Amino acid sequence: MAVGTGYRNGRARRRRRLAASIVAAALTLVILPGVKWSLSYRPAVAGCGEHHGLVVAADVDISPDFQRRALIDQWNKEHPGTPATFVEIARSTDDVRSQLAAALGSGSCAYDVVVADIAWIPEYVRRGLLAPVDSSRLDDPGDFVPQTLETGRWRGRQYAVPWYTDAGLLYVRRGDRAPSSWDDLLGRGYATQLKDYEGLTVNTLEVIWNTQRRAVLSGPIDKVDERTAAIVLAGIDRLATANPALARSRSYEEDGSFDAFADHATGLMRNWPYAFRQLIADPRVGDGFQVTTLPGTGVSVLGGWDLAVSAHSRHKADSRALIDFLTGTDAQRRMFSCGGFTPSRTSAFEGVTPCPDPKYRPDELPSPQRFSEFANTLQAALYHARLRSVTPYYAQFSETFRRCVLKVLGAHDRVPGARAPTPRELAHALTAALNGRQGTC
Amino acid sequence: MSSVDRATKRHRVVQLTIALLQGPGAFFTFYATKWPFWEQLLFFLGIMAVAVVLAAVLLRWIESPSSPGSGIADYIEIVVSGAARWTVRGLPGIAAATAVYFLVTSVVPYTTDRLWPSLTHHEVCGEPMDLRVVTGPENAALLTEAAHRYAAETSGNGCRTVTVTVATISSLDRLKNGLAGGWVSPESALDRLDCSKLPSRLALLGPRPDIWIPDSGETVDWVRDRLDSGDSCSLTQNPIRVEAGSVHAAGSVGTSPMVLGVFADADRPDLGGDAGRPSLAALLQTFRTYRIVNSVVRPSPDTSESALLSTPVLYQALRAADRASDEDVEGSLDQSPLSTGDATSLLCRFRADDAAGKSPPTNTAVVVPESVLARYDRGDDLRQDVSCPGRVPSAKWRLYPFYTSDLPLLDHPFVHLRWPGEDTGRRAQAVDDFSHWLEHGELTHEGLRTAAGRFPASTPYRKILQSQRNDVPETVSRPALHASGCSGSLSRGLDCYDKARPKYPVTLMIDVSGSMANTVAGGPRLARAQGLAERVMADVRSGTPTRLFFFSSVTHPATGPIGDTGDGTAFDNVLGAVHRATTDGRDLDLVTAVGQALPWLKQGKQTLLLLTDGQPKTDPQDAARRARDLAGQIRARFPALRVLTVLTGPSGCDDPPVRDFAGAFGPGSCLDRAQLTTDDFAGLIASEISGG
Repeated sequence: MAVGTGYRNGRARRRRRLAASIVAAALTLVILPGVKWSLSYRPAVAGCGEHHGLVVAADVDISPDFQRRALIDQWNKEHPGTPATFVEIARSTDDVRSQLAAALGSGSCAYDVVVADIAWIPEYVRRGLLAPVDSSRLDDPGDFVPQTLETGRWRGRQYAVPWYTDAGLLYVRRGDRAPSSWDDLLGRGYATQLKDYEGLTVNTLEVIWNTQRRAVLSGPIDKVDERTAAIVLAGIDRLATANPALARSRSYEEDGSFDAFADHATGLMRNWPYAFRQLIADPRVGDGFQVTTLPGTGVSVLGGWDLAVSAHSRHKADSRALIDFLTGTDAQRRMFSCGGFTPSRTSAFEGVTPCPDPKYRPDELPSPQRFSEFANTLQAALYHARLRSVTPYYAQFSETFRRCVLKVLGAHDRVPGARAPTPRELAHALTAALNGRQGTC
Repeated sequence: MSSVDRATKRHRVVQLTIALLQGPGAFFTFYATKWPFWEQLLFFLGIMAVAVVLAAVLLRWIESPSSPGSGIADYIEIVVSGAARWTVRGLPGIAAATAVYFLVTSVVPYTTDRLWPSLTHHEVCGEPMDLRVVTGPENAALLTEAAHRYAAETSGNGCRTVTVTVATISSLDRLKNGLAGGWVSPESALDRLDCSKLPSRLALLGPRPDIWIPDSGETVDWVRDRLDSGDSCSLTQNPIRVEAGSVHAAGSVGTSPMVLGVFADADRPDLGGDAGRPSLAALLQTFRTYRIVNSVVRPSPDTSESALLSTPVLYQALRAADRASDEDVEGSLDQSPLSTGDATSLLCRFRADDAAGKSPPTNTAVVVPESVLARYDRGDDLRQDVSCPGRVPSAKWRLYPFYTSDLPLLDHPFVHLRWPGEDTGRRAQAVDDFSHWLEHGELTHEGLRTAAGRFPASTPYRKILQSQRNDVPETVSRPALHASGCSGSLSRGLDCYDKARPKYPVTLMIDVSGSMANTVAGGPRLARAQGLAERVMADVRSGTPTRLFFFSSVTHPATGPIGDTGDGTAFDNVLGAVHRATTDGRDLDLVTAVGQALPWLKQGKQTLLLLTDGQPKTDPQDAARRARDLAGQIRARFPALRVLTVLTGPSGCDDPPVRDFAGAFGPGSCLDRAQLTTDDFAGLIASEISGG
């Protein structure tokens, strides 16, 4: 072969290889940014958000004088080496849940301690967002009101520690008579929370439990049979056929029912314990009311917020120490007397007095005797309080349940097109929702 | 080893080095820089080109004694072809790594999250993806309805696969600052110089949004241009304060023209139909000629993006009509008794007045988005909560839209936001899926037009808006953009609006007595006062001289203001001081508090804003007399000072002794709208202040 031909063939081969190589390099340039694009925000590549100190994720503190923030400030004074930041995400618990699910679910370690509505604990656990609690390390677990410790447990394992709890109470204007039974209460009408949000779920459950005297839709469940559905429907019917004055509550949340009671629109109100302190300090009411447990069997929904350590936290030991501090007797007593939070520890009720802060006028606080009576009433309500349905799909369950309740109420009000579901339809809808599936009545 | 062998080895080493540099070089360029893709690509090619030239020069220098005739071009060819050859040899590895990557990040999660459960635990659903949307208050209700539909439609096999939460933000400044700083509320008073520092408490603006749907692409440009201000923190510096990594606008999810809404008495056949071709100025002139409209109401541009976008056109039209300046026009718009936070607040107010049996305001037109007006007329929800329940307006309260050639067309772009350390491929895919669903005109079910400006035949809204005279155009298009004066960009519009707002000094006096620790609806009274103060300060704009006092039995205004922008204190520091306020001491009566602040005030037109829950009960005759004396003193020493008392609740302006205090300063000197949201109430207060 001539030298020139060989040389030309060689050059042609080099050019082909060069062209192929340029194509390969171009492909690499396309692939790598694509890889980078999908990785760049991920904790594995971008980092999970390591930081100094502790970050507590919570809802907005709306307690009198911001008691939760004050406790964090106290922790920071006593533990300057592990300062904590209280991050208030949003007012609405749904918005807080949405943010935590997004952040923790993507592996972020930006949050160390999570303040969680007890209804969300099973979902967080199922998603792997919470670190388990070593029950043997709990500070005096026998001191907790038993049902409250249960709120932080899922499938036999403890994941959260109860911080403060809640139980429904009945507020009665002076001059009005406390109802003797649920029939009496429903017959007279009262201000409560029946707007289409969690308040409707809570109040409907209380009516069902107390009028039907059955603990349905309570505790861990994943199925509703027709018999249970029939009991539920009977209870909703009682709500629907109550005094027409109760219908005003369908536009109320806690504040609306509070104002209705304070403005004398009604002499009876079902509300949470926070209302006690707020009524005392409200010039429209002052001392002109009494507090009692719900009538009859007096079963109320157990509410509350727990503290948990994020599964991704890089400061788990310090986080547990902070939780021990916040759930200790002293902290809970302070939150109760000055913030209106219901303690989850029995010892926090002992010897409790009104807030000793001198900035309050005497007429803004209950008398020591009054406060002691209130503490006793609250403890009684707590011991009769019952969990709502415990399920990782609580949001969906509650929404479906409310849709069904509204259909029953609509049918009673003769709303065009509204039809109450049958027990079978209700059972099917609730069972689907308890397993995360779409269900309608 | 011969010199040829050594030269070959050197060539191969250089070629391999260049080939290996591509990976880290590309990774560095595309990871560490935030430029657009094409700039990143050019930068990367530039790096490689420099590396190749340097390598060629170096090689030539090393080998020049043995190859004196070879030029630099030969060495460049050697380096490039060799490096490319090594790249080709590495391509199987790249392909394998990429395949493993996609297998691990896509196929495996799909299998474990969806396929396996559906085969083995068909009764149990996986976790739905939570998507977080932020938008303005005027779009919240329609997006919430659409989100519920989307969640229902995408429930595969009965399992919910996505939950969409819609939150609102009304201030563009807060949104911009939030995107730049971890979605942290600007009042949290962070240390701008030290990213690692966090205070003991801070607040977010809500859940960090994955999706932002503003009214206009102009807004997206405005925000994006201001994000890289240098103050933001990286994820490694502080995960709470990290800047949004990407603000990427996709297509429009629907359009809605701004319209002039008039009541039924103005909907007359003799006006003639023109389906929106006159200018706003011409339309207003026609209305004036027929004595139909002599005042225009516009929501506050501080809390309504659509009102802000419409402001330049309003200035132009009303300047021409009244031969007035922008300041005069803004003053008349701001002082309207109907002026409220946003279009939904305005129309909700109409609903409430309608339900109360009142008559609509006479000779008044409103500038609102067509979608909000359409939902109002159809009786749909205008808000996410039930503060404004759905209700079909009575005949006299119906609003009819008139279209113009120059009021803006809102194009609602879909913006994907990504937060470093809080993002996954699954989340990004869920956002893309939602975007694609919306971009198919789904929001026409809720009152928007398609991205092309058309009302589909199936929508009931066009029929609702039609009247005996009014022509509702089937299609609307974007008005021609003239970059001059106040028009052409959001930045220009904002500058004009800013200049047109009067900047009279404001003195804030916040009650920090123990009673403010007690709660009203939604939290401690102090929190309500802080929220109002923070919003008012933002609404009256940062150029306004602002002075801050706290007062209680232990915190006396006599010792001087807590903050004063007039003495050089930065506006943000004063805002931070409001945020850090805590209660201390008992009540200090309002007469004493205001009296102690007077020596610190300067002369001139200004407002003193008292934020309190009321006064302690005192002798009513004495309280009234002292208040009258104080008012007399103020009239004598500060004739241009207005005292405005704002109550947090539960007391109202008619409750003694506040009634006596406020009464001494004349009618309209007390506000107690406890039922209003903080934004709406603050907007009302800001209007009162600007009115002077």
